[in-house]
Amino acid sequence: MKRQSLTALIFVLMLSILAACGGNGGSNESGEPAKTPAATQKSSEAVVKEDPAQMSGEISWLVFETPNYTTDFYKKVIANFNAKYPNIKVKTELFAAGDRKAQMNAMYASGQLPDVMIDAVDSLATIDGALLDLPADLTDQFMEQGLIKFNDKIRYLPTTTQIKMGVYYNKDKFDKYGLSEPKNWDEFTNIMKTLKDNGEIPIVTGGPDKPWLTGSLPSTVVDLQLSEKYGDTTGIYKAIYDGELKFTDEAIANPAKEWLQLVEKGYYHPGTLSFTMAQMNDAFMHGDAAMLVNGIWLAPILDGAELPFQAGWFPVPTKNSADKYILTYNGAMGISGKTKYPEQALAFLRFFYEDKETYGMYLKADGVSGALKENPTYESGPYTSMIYEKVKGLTAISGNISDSKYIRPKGVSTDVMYQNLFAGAKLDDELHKIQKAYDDGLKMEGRK
Amino acid sequence: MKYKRIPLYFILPAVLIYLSKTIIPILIGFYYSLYNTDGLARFIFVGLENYTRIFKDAQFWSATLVMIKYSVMMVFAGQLISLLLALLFVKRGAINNIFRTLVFLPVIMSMVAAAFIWKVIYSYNGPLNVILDQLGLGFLKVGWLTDPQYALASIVVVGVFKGVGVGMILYMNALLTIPAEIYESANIDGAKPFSLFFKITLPLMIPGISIAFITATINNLKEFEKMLILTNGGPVDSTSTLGFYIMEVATNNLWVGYASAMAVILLILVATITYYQNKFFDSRTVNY
Repeated sequence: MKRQSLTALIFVLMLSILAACGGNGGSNESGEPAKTPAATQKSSEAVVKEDPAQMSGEISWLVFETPNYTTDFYKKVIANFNAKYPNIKVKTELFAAGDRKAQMNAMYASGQLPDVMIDAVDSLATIDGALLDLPADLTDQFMEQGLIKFNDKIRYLPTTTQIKMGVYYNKDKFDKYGLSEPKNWDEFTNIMKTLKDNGEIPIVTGGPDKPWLTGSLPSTVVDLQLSEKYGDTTGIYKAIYDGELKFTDEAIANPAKEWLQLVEKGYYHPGTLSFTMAQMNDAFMHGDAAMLVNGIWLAPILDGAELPFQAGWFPVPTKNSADKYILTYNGAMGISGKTKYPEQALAFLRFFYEDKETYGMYLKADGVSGALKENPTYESGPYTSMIYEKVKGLTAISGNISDSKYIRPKGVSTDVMYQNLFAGAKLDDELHKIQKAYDDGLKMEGRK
Repeated sequence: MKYKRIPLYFILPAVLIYLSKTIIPILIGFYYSLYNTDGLARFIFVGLENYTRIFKDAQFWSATLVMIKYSVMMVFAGQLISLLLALLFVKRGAINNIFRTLVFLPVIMSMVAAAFIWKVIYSYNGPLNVILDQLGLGFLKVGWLTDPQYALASIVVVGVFKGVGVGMILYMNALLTIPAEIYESANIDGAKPFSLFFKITLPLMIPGISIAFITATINNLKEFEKMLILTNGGPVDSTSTLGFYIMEVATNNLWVGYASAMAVILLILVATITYYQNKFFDSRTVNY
C-alpha cells in the first residue's frame, strides 16, 4: 500500500513537471510622423481576391495593453475591420504582464499560438514553419530597414518607428538649481549630484514586470557608445557573433560600471525597482523625481496630463556627446504558421496597415511614426512635437538587427542583467553569465 | 465467468486517463531529455548530453539551493502554523466555523489574484511599508520583493497565507480521528495537558502529519508559479527555484530537451525525498 501511494505521488509529480514544461530611417531621419497619406490599398486588394463581405471565419488576435493601448482601443480597431469584413470575427487575447517573447515561446511550444499576434513574434521567426511567410505585395509597402529576411522570406512586420529612449526632465527643478541639458555623461552625473545635494530625487525607473525599464538607461548608453565603433545595432551584434566583441569587454563593462555608480550614489528613487511603469511615470509626473528615461510613448501621456511643472527632453548622453539617439522599428506583427484561417488572418493584417484611420489611430496613441513607406499623419500634442523637433538636429542610430544571422539567441537579455546589477549582483559575474548564455544559445539553436 | 470481467470494464476509463495523462507524458519527457529540441521543430539526438550539461550548469545548482531553502521554510512554517490553527479551531462552534472559513478562504482564491494583492502590499510605497512608517519603524522599509535578501522570505509568507488552510483541514481531520476514549482513560490516569498532547495527540496524528508533510514537500519542491507572478525569479535569481528555472529554460530559451532532463532530475530528487519522508513517518506511527 505504501509503495503504491509512493508510486502515485511520483506520477502525480512527474505529470505536474511535464505539464509545466510542457537601418536608420523612418519616414524620415528623425522618425517624425510622415505628412503624406497612405496609398497602398490597391495592391492589397489585388491579392485578397474574395469579396470582403464573403469572407468568413473566426481569428484570434494577441495584443498587449498599456495606458495608450486599452481594451477599448482594440475594440475600435476590430469595429473598423468588421465594417469592411463583417463575417470575420476577431477575438482578442491578452499578453500577461512580463516578458512577451517568453510567453510567445510558451504558446508556440504548447501549440497554442493565436492566429495573429501584434508583438514579439520575432522570437519565433528563426523557426521554419512557426510563422506564415508574408506576401511581397504587402511587405513591399514597408521601409526596407524595418524588415528582416529569414530564408529569403519576411515573417513579421514592424508596427511603428520609435525614438527609443530619451531623458524626460522637470524643467522647473532644473531652472531652480541653474541646471541645463547635459552635453555628455559627466555633465549628466553632475546634474544628478546637484539635485541629490539639494534634497531632490534625481531619477526614477521601474522594472518588476518590465526589466527593460531598468535597463533603459544603461543599455542605451552602451549601445550609443558602441555605435561609435560598430555603426549601429546590427554592427554591434555582428561583432558579438563574430567574437570580435565580448559582453565582458571594457567597451560594455565600463559604461555599465559608470551607470552603476548612479545606483550606488543613491541617485535613484528609493524602492524604484518595485515600481511598475505607471508608478514610475507617476513619480515623475507628480514631481517626486526630476528625471526618467523612457521612450517616445510617454510624450502622448504627458500631452494628455496636467503636469504641475514644465517638462523637457534630451537625448541619453554618452561619455563624449549627447548628439545621438536610437531609432527602432518596433513591434513584430505576424501570423501563426498553423492558423486555420490564413486568408482571413492575412486580410486582417493588411487592413491594420492599409486602413489609414486604423493604422493612424495606432500610431497616434503612442506618439510614434509608421513603418510603411507612406504613413498616415496625425496631429500630435506639444510634448510629442517638441521631441520630434529636438531630434531633427541629432544622429539616428538604428536599434534593429537587420540580418537574421546576428539575432540574439532566445532568452539572452541584457535588460535582466541590468536589473540584477541594480539589485546588487556583481558586474563581472553578470557579464560572464550573459556571454555564456549567448554562446550556449547559439550552440543549442544550431547556429554556430 | 463472463461477469468476472465486468469490474475491469469499470476501471478501464480510469486506466486510460492515467496512461494518457501520466505515463505517456513521463515517457515523452524522458524521450525529449535525450534530444536538443525546442519541442516542435528541432530534434537532434544528443544522448545523455543534456544530463552532463546539468552538472556543469551553475544556475541549476543555485536554483536547486533556492528550491531547498524555499521548501524547508515553507514546509516547517506552513505546517507549524497549520497545526496551531487546527488545534485552535478544531472544536465545533459558530465562531470557530467563521475562523475556519476565513483561514481557508485564500486557498480558493486564484494564485494570480492573491499574488496581485501581495504585490501591492509589498510595493515600496505599499501598505506594509506605510504601516512601518506610521509605527516609527521607517528604517525597516525595504523593497520586499526587489531586495535579494528578503524576496524569498516574502514569497514564503505568501505561500503560507495561501496554503495554510489546506494544512489546517488535514490536521483537523487527523485530530478528529483520535478516539475520545483514549483521552478519557488518560484523564482518569491523571495525565496533564502537556503530556496529553505529546504522548497521545501528536503520536496518533502521525498518519495525518505524514500526508500533510509529504504533499507540502512535493508541492513546494516543484513550485514556480508564485515566483513567476511575484518576482520572475529575481532579483539576482534569489527566487529562481528549480521549477522556475526549468520553466524559464523551456519557455524563454525554448530548450525543451534540456528542461526535460532537469525535470527528470527533479523527479528523482523529489521521489527520493518523499521515500525517506515516508520511511521516517512510518517508523513513528503508533497504535493504542
